[in-house]
Amino acid sequence: MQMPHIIWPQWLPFLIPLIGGIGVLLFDVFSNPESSRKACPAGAVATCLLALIALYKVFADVAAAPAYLPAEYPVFMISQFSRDCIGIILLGAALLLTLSPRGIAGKNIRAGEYYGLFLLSVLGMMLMAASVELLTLFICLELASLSIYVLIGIEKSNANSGEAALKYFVLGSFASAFLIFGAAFFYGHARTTFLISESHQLVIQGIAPYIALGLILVGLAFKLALAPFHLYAPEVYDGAPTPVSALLATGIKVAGFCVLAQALVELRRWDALDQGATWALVLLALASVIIGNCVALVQRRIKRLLAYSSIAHSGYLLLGIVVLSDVAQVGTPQLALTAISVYLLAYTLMNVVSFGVASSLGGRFEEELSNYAGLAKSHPFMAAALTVSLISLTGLPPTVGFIGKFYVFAEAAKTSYIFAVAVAVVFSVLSAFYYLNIVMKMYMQEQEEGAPGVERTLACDVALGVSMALILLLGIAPGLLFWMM
Amino acid sequence: MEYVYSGNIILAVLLFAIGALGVVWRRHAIAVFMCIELMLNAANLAFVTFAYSINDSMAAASGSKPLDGAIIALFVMTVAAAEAGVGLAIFLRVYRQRGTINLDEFTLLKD
Repeated sequence: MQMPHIIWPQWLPFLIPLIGGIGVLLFDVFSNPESSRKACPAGAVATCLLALIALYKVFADVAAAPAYLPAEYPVFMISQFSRDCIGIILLGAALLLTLSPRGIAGKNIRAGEYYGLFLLSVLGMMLMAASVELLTLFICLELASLSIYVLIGIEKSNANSGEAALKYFVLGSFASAFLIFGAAFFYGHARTTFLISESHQLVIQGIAPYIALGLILVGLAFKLALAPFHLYAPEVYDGAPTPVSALLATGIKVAGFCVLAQALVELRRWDALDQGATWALVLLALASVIIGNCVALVQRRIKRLLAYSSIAHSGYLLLGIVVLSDVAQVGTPQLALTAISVYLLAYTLMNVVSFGVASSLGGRFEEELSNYAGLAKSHPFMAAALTVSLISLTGLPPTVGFIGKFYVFAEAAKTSYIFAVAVAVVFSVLSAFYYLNIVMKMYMQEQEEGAPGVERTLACDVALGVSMALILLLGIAPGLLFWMM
Repeated sequence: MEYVYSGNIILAVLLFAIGALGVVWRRHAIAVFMCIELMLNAANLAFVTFAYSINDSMAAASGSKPLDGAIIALFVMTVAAAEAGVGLAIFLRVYRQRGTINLDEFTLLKD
């Protein structure tokens, strides 16, 4: 048996988070808590940024032809789209790690465990976004999920954190079981576990492979918090430490959508999709948009509201994905893929800022929405950052949220499911009520007497400032996006 | 495709269904976790059966290797073990804090 020949530079973007994550864990063991509290976050942020640079250096020319890894048994594929998705995951993770020291301060969390597991779960998401084989997908998903289960319950003195971890663990492994069972039947019928293969055509006949793909979709839809598989999201986001909620809302969703989009492009290439599959996706998208937006209207806690808003945004994104599977849609999928990656970038930045403001202010600002009354007076910078991200979440210009939504809806309107786009537009107008309600609270209402102020830290200001600048800059000059990607 | 070993596949589907119903009905976290393990093992049974029924020429035609499925079952078992490690640690941590792991009693986060 010949050992696979491995070309090291190609693995560099994935090796860096692996070495960084294990390094941070080990550093914590051999140093005192005080120094590891300072060094671990710095090391973790540096790891993510290094990996981001390595990713774009190593895979600079994948636009022409995707890179397959490893060459003998290509279970990972880096196309332009998946490279950009991995880049978005790393950018979001770097920003969240910068926000984390303030977010977990005073919560009796050991720094090495937190940052080490954070990096390992980011590694899982990166690999998941690149994987094109079902077993690899399952293992990478589990790597991301297992680290996240621990991260959710890492706040030992907080009963909410433990409850959230328990719920997410039970439902998450339930969903993984669906995914692997679907993979088994896919293997039985297509006789391969490769969704995308460079050399072989995927042959799908009869109804059974669609049931298998449906089971896999159920497993993924859970991770993407699509209605009706979203029930865990508000509770888990509310109970988890805020930077971890943000990672749940951004990283794992980006990875999941990347897998879904690439699989659909491939299935359509082999003409293996019928109208029924597309309808299932349209219904999932509509359910998420409607349920997410309607239930968000009545939320009183900030993280629950953001959870429902992220469910609604998953719905908008899935509408963009539908374009890829629509049989009536002709031409290359490149435009739709670009629209989706722009939206994913916008979505990640907006959620980093809105969760980031909650975690930087901390305490009561992670709870009831009414605590945000008068924030503009006491913390003008935080209020401004939150306002920008909420306007972007609503999808108003001049923010990147508008650009993303516009591209995705414009692509989706080309398909025969234009009514779904109409519904999504109506509900995204509805979403302005609950997003702008927070803005109104911050600027128009008076603060309660005697509410204590919160000290600011430089790291939080930098992370929020960078994300806010990106949201506005890319909103005003979207051409920069294409120059960057 | 014809099922060569349809008995095994029916058993796998049954095991999966029993596991899924158990997750929905049982309220004790350990029992729920056992049901999830049952679902994973149903997938393993299906993988091994399919691997046995796909012969070398079929595998070559679709780009996979013979016995891929049997090896996948080993990986799934490994992942299940890792999952058990993390899961039982979470149960223990919650039990120490709350004195119960009955899923119905976790209502702190309900709105």
